[in-house]
Amino acid sequence: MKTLIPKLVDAIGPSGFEEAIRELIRKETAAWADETWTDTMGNLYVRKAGDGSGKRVMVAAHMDEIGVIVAQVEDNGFLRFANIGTLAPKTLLGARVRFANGAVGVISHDGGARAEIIGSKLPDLHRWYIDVGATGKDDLPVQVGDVGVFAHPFVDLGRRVIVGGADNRVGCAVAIESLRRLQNSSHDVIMVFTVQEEIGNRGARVAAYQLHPDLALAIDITPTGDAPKSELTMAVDLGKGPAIPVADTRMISHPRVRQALVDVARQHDIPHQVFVLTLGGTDASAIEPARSGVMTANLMVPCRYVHTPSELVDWQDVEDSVRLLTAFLQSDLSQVGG
Amino acid sequence: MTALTWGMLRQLTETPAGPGDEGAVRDLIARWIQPHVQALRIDALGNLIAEKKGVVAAPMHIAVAAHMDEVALFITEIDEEGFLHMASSGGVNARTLLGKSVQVGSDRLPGVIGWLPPHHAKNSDEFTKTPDVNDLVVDIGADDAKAAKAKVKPGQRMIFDTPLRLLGPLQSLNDDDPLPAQGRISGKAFDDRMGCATLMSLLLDDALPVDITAVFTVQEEIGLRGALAAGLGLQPDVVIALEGTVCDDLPGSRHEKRFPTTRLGDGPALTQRDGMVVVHPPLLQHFLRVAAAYHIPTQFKRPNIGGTDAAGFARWLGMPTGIISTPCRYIHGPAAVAELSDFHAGVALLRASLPELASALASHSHP
Repeated sequence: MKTLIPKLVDAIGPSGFEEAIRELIRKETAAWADETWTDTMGNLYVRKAGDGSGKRVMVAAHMDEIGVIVAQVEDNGFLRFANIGTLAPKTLLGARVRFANGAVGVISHDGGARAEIIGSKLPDLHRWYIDVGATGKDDLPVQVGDVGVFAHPFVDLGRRVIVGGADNRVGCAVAIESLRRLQNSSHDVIMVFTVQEEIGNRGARVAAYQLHPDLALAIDITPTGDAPKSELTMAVDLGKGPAIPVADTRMISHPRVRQALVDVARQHDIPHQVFVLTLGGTDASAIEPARSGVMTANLMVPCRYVHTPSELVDWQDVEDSVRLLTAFLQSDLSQVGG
Repeated sequence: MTALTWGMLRQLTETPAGPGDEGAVRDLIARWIQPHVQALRIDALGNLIAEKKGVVAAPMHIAVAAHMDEVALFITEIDEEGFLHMASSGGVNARTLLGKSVQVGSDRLPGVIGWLPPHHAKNSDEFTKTPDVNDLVVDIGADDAKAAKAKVKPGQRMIFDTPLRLLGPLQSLNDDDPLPAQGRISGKAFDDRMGCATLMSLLLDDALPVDITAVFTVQEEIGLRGALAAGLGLQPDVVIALEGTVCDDLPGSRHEKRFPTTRLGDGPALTQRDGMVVVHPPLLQHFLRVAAAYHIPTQFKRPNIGGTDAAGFARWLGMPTGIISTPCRYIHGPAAVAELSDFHAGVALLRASLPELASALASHSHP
C-alpha cells in the first residue's frame, strides 16, 4: 500500500479526463483480473469471477479528482480558470497546479500582494488566476481547455500520511489491494473505477445500469468529526477504523448491506464506526436507484482536510478498510437478499 | 365509503417511518392488505408492491403509488452529558422543532427536543433567532453518554410523537369505528399516510373495477428514490401518485390576494403541473369529467409547487402521470390538519376514474 498509493496520486485524473489514472489502475490490477473492460464514459471494470453460486457484487471507487480547467488566457500570460468539482476557495491561494504535460503553476487572485496578504474577503472564482511562469501568450505551456490538478507531494508521517488526492485514490487503493487479496470468493465481483464522481456521480450511474448487480458498495473517503472544536457533529474519528454510514446527504445505505458489513467486521475483529455522514455523498446515491433498484451501502476511510491539497489519512484505517472489504467479499451474503 | 377504520388510520399515522427506515409502516400495511390482494412483494429498495385483481382485467398496466416515509431526524452524535445531536432527513424546518416530543429509534423511546425556557433568555439571540437543526439536541432523560449509549446509537431516526385526534366537538372514537364521513383530524405524517390510506381504501375494496398495481414507496422525502427504482422495475403504462399535499389557506389568505396552494374542505387537489412534471392532459381531463359526472368536489393545486413520486416513476420512461392529493395544513411539522371529506372524495374520485381510464388515454394517443 505504501508503494501503491503514491503511484496512484501521481497519475492525474480530473473529472472527465481520467485516461492516465485509468491506464495505471488497469496495469496494477491486470494480474489479478479475470476480465477487464471500459465503457463509453471511461469507467474501468475489473472482474474477478465467482464460482456461480454467489451474488453479483459491484464495488465502486471513483478514480477522478477535483481540479481546474483553463478558461481564458490573458495577454500577460495569466490563466483564468473554472473549477472541476467542488473547490474550497480558501485553499486556493498559493496552491500549486499540475497539468498533464508536466507544466506547474501557482494560484492567486486579483488585487496584488496587499489583497493576497491582508485582504479579508475571498473573491469569486472568476477573479482567481494561475501563473505558470509565462511572460506572455507566446511562451505559455498550456492553452484553453487544458486541465490540471493540485500538486500534492505525498508525505509519510509514520502512523498517518498526508496524501493530496486521497479523495479518492485511497478508495481506489483499498479496492485494488482487496482485489489482490481476494481468494475463494463465491461472488462475481466487479470492481468499477468510476469517472466523474466529483461532478455528479455520472460514471457510477451508467456503470450500475449496465451491470445491474445484486448489491453494491461505494468505497470513498469521509470527513471526520474529530477536528478541534469541530462544527461537524459526526461520530467518526481518524484512526478508529473504517466508517460505515447509515446515510449520507443524498441516500440511505441499505440496512441489510450495512448490517452485513458490521457483522463481518465483528466476526473478524476489525474496528469500525457506524455514523451519519452530514456533509456530502458518494457514488452510492447514483447506483442505488439504477434499473429496479440496487441494494447499496458505503464503506469509507476517515480523512481530514478533504478537498484541500493536503488530505490526511491513517494507515491503520486504510489497512482495516482493505481487511473489511476483502472479508465482506469472501463472506456468505445469502442473507442479505438482492 | 372506505373500509378503513379509525384504528387503522391512527396506527398508520402514529407509526414512525423515516426515509430508508419504513419497515414498521410497511409491515402494518402488508398485514392489512394481504387478504385482499393477489400478490405481495418487497423490492431491493424496500418498496411494497401489491397486485390487486379487479372485477375486470385492465387493458393497460395501471400503477397507483403512495409513499410510506415521512420527514425525520437522525442521531449524529451522543455527547458527554447524554444529549443526542441531530441532522435532518427530508425537509424539516428548525422553527417547528423546539420543545417537541419525539420517538427515538425502532423501540420508540420517548424524547424531547431541548430548548432554553423564556424566563432568562428573553433578550438573548437564543430566544429570538431560529436555530440551525444541527445545533439542537434531544433529551432522552439520560444523565451521561454512557446511559444514553446504552439505549440509542448514531444513525437511528427520531420522529415526531403525535397522536391522531378528531378536532371539533368532543367525540371519542374507538379503533373499530369507521372513519367519520367528515370532520377535521390532526396528526403527524399526513404527508403521505393520507396517500397510503387512499391507496389502502382501493385495495380493501373487493369490488374494485379494474386491476391495479399498488406501490407503497420508500424514500420519497429524500428525492423520490423508491419511485425511481419502481418506475423502471414495473414499467407501468400509467402511474397515479397519491399525496398529502401543502395546504396554506391560513388566516388572511382569502382576502389578501395570496393564492393558497390548496384549501381545506374544497375536495381533493388535482395537479396540472408541479415543479417536476406536467400531468398528462388527457388524464387530467378524465379526472375532471369523472368528478363532474359523480358530483365529486375537486380543486386545482397551485402550479409549479413541489414534486411527487409521479416524477420519480416517469424519470426514465416518461409514462403518463396523474396526481391526486389530500390537502393537509402544516405538513412536515409535528401536527398536520386534514379534512376527512376531502380524503373520502379523493378515494371516490380515484375509484370512479378507473373503469374508463384506459379508453380515455387510448383515445388521446399521439398520431
